[in-house]
Amino acid sequence: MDTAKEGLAMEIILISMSLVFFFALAFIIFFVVYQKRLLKQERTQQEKELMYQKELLQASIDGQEQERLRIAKELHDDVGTMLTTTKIYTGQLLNQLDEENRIRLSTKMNELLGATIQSVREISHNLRPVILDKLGLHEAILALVDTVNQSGEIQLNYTKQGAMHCTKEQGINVYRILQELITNTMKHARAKRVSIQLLAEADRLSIIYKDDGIGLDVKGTILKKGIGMKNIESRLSVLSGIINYENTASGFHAEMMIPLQSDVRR
Amino acid sequence: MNEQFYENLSLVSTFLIVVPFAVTCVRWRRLAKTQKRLACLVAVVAIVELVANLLWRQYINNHPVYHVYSILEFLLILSIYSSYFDRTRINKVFFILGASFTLFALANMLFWQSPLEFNSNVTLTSSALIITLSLSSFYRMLIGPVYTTLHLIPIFWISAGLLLYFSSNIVLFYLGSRVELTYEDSLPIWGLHSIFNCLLILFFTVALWIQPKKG
Repeated sequence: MDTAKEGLAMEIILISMSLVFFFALAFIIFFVVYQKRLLKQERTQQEKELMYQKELLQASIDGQEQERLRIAKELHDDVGTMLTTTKIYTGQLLNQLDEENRIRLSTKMNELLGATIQSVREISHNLRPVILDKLGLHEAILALVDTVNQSGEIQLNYTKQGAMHCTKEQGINVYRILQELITNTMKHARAKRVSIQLLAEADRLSIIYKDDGIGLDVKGTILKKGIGMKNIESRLSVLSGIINYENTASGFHAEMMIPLQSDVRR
Repeated sequence: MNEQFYENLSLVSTFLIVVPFAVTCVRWRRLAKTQKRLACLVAVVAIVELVANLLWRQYINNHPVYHVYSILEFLLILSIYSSYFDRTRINKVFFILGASFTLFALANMLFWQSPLEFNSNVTLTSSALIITLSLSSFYRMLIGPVYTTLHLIPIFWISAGLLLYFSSNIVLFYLGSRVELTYEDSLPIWGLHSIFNCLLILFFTVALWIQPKKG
């Protein structure tokens, strides 16, 4: 081989080696940059999940506080007031010798004690519906629907398909979710009719909730920050369930799917 | 650049192996499994470089040393990756690969390239396989959990060093075996090879120096 050809061969080898080297280097740099990007995405996702969990926890705490406040208010305003009045009447009864007044006061005391018993029952029922434990979710929902329909504010229509085989914990959570949805509709939706459909299958429970109100602001405060909605999500997360909201011109529409396996992880 | 410069570069590249060897001696007890296997490779490289240099200075053909070294080097690199992948099925594949490569290297020595010749067939095959192993480890790092501290993963430094070194040298071994160059003309090429060798040794040093962290 002459000198010129040898020089050219040497140059070709050198350039080829350098090119391949830089190609390999570029691959490694790309790998490192890509890893960093993945890491950043993963951290952002973790932060979002953490924030969401915090919001759920806060909603749960707020919900508990609201419930305590409601119970305290009902005890103070209803039961407390009635018992205080009864005590005053008892004091008057001791001083009254007149037969007519004694009968009148006794009747009033009897009415107040009856009202107090009713009040205590209602508080107890709101804390944990007895019917749910005794007769199950379907009967409890029927009772809830009856109670709401009797109020005359809105008309609830409830249908169920299939046999439900859920645990008591699943039952109370589904019941509370429906309660929360109905409360939201009554408070915000200005609806006249609500439809609740339960489809019970062997391994899942599907719930379709619809109202004919003005709909909830999906992007606004009600869904994003409302304690009620956070409570629903919190309960669904306990049940490993999912919810999809939809706002249509004809009102609010929510679809939930809850797995019913006995080994659902909590 | 004169001949002396390339000779000095070659000497630096040869004796730089002392650095990772020293790191191994200092940190041996704290080394992880993968690092210990790399330390064995470093020790073998150090011994081979020493013997080959001594033979070369005595004007004795040192190619037989590299015939044996090629087999040892591939098997040790295979064992490094086997400790990283750490799965029974992959280890079986690695065992078959190691045995086949050893048989091929011995057959090459007996039938095609005598121990006194440069074993380009074996070197090329081993380079191609090591590049594949390196790329496989990068792929595994990519599909696996995201590392928060990539710079503290020894296999990252090992794979990066091996990929850089063998991808450029596969060109050298392939073209070098097909073109005959005079000693003077081949000096820049071996100079570049020495630079890549230094880089590989530095990557090995980092891989041995770091304290591995999971995740």
